Amino acid sequence: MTSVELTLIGGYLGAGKTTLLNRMLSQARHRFAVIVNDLGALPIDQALIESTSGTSLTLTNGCACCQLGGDLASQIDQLAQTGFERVLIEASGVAKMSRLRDQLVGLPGVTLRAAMTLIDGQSLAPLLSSRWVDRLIRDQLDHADLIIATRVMPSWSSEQVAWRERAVFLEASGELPDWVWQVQSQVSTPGFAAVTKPEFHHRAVVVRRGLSRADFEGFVAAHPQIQRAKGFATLNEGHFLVQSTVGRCILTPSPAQDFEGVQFIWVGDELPPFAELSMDQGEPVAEVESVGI
Amino acid sequence: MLDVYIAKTIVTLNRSQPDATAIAVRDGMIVEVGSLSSLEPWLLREPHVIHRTFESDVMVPGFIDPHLHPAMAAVILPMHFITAMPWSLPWREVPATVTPEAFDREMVRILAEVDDEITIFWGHHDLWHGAMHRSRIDQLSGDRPVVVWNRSFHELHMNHACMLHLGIDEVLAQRRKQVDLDAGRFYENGLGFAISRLNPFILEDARFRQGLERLREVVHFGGHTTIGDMAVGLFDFERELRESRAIFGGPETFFRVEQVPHGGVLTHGRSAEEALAQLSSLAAESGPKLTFRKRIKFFADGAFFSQLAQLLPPGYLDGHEGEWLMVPELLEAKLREFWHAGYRIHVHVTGDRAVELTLSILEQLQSELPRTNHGFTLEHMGYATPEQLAWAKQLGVSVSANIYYLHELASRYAEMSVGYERASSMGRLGTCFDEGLITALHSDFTMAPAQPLLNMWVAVNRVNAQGELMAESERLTPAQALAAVTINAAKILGIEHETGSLRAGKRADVTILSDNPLSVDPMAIRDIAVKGTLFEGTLRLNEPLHDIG
Repeated sequence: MTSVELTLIGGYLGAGKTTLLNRMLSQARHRFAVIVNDLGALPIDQALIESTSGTSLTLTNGCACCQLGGDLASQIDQLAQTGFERVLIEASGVAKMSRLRDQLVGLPGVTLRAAMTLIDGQSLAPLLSSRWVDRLIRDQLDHADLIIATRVMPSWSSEQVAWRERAVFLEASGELPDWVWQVQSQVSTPGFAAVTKPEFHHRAVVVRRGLSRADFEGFVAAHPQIQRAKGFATLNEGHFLVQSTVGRCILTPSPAQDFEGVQFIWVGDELPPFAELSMDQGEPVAEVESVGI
Repeated sequence: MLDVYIAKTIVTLNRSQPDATAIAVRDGMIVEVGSLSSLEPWLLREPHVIHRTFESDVMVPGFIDPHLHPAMAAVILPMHFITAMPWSLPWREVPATVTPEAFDREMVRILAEVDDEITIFWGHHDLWHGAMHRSRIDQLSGDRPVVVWNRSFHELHMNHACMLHLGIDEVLAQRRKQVDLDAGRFYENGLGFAISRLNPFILEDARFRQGLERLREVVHFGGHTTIGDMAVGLFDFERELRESRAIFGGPETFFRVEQVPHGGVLTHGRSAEEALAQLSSLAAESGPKLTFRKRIKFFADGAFFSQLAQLLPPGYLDGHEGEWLMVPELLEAKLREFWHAGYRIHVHVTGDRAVELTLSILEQLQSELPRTNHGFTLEHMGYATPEQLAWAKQLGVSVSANIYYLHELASRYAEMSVGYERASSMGRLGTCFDEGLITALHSDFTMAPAQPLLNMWVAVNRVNAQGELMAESERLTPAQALAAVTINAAKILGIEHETGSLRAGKRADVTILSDNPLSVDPMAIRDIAVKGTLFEGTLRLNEPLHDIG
């Protein structure tokens, strides 16, 4: 199997992603390919372009630039098959680094070399207080192996130590420093620990005919993983509005016969045996007036 | 020659004469609405035919769906529907399928009837139909390629035979994230991989055209005389232009298509001048049925069905974040270009944070270049606060809402997404009308059925799929809801001088109904039958009737 090393370049609009890519392409120390959001926006020196084909460019130094398409993994595959061992991906300005890592880390044959987030040092403070993108910016910084500050190095606050420790400043012009080519992904970076929350599942059930109130209440009581149940059911005693929270099941007679279907919410992996409750195979469903997805 | 149609009631939405019983049409234009006696001055002077076929029916202004996606519909409509909600399609009533067993039975039944190269089912939902799995499909169809597409469109499962057919081998698929080969499951980015393999089949010319032809039937069936294609270029700009003209430009189409280009696609990698020049020439060469005007569509935040709407605090129950589809500053820059060029701008906004951003941008643009009657429209508007809607009024904003979200998602979102308060008040249309915003309803088909009466029913009753009344005070009156699928929808598209109500001088666009949506029991609005339409005076019937004229 071919093997590819990926480098992610993220950061918000104006952070300098395109400028960095352009510098890397013109100062290439080895052969690599870049996948960019907008090939047209990449100001590549015309003298460096060897050939153009559709949505990709081949450069005289052996590097290539491609427009991002629908299936990123296929593009990476294609580049690997044409002999590229290193691929750089320019993320969209609104891409979350956490999500990109999720998508790419662990693909067989693909190693994440580094995730780098660029930040314009002058705009860090306004971006972090932005009404629109504050959490996006935090995500991009939290999930980067290396933070590259452009224009100026931000004056990090005491709460931003975790960012400061991973930040380096990049001069706007001149030869790129060695670390740009050498940076490697750390095994883990701070801020990755996901908050563990209980996992809820849900299922809608149209209750079959022939069950009594006691049957229904018994079902809910017998399966304590059921946290909530809400909706309408026709039982032997009549049509009921069902409102159940943990340990308490309230059935209220309901005049509206139009609706059938109870939404169950349960926690954990144990699926309640809904077959005991739901319409069996023989019963027609066409009479159900309206049901949820 | 005048054609005079008699009806039990004609609801005109023309305030000076709200009710009438006769409408006179010449060369596709309404010459007068009134009664046979009030039409006398015309009838004395002009040869005429009086049509009494519909004298026990009700006429309303021709329905307008200002926001649907023919190209997306063309991909989905050739699929076989098995859905938890009943869907009325012109060629088939799709019943509600609400158990895992019934879902499997439907698959078996359809497989026995069809002979597709790949049989694709659409509409699976875990909530009703249980978890899908490759082995589950394999048991039903071991040797024929089968795909089961999720109702949200964001996930699919395929059987082993289908993987073989598409040449998806284990080595290839294992190199993908979000592919579970054992389960035959492809989602998010893995879905992109599956679609790239399915594309030669689902986008094949004949199938795509069949899909557009089916959409034409759906649009007729719903009683529409105008639709808005609210993002030409969603799949492939040139191909959509070409195929839409071929299918909708001909005499078999009894509605007009108002085309609004996808701004992101149109401006990608090129200057605003180039995009504006292309749009000018598209507008100039617009045909009688398909029309570009100075309109453009942009996208702010993620899909409502995927819970990617951008929300203001307190956000989602599980703490996840919505997504921007365009960098906010870039959205502002694009909107600025088209605002200054005098365009009517439509922005896809699903969450209240996206509404906040969009209104902030518009406020800035209004201070740079004040405009009135500018048609700036919030599209979908899942969540918006009352304060935002008052602000929207100040800025002259219109709303085109997908109210079906409320019916289909409110119960689930109350439990699983945002909690009861916000889930129950999604689609605050009562507030929109109270604030005086121009407010329309759309289907975003196939996000919701393209049936204006069904969307009116949701807006008037605000009953969710589990039968629960959600935010009673946000209900519309039947008259408001009717305006939202006719005259207000015409205003959203900027064609209110031509259609959307029934009065002298407008095009003769009429929808013929079995009953009056303004006087039936509100819960029965969705049961009213659409008998047919007049499109620019030409009659088209949903079912063959005898004794025409």
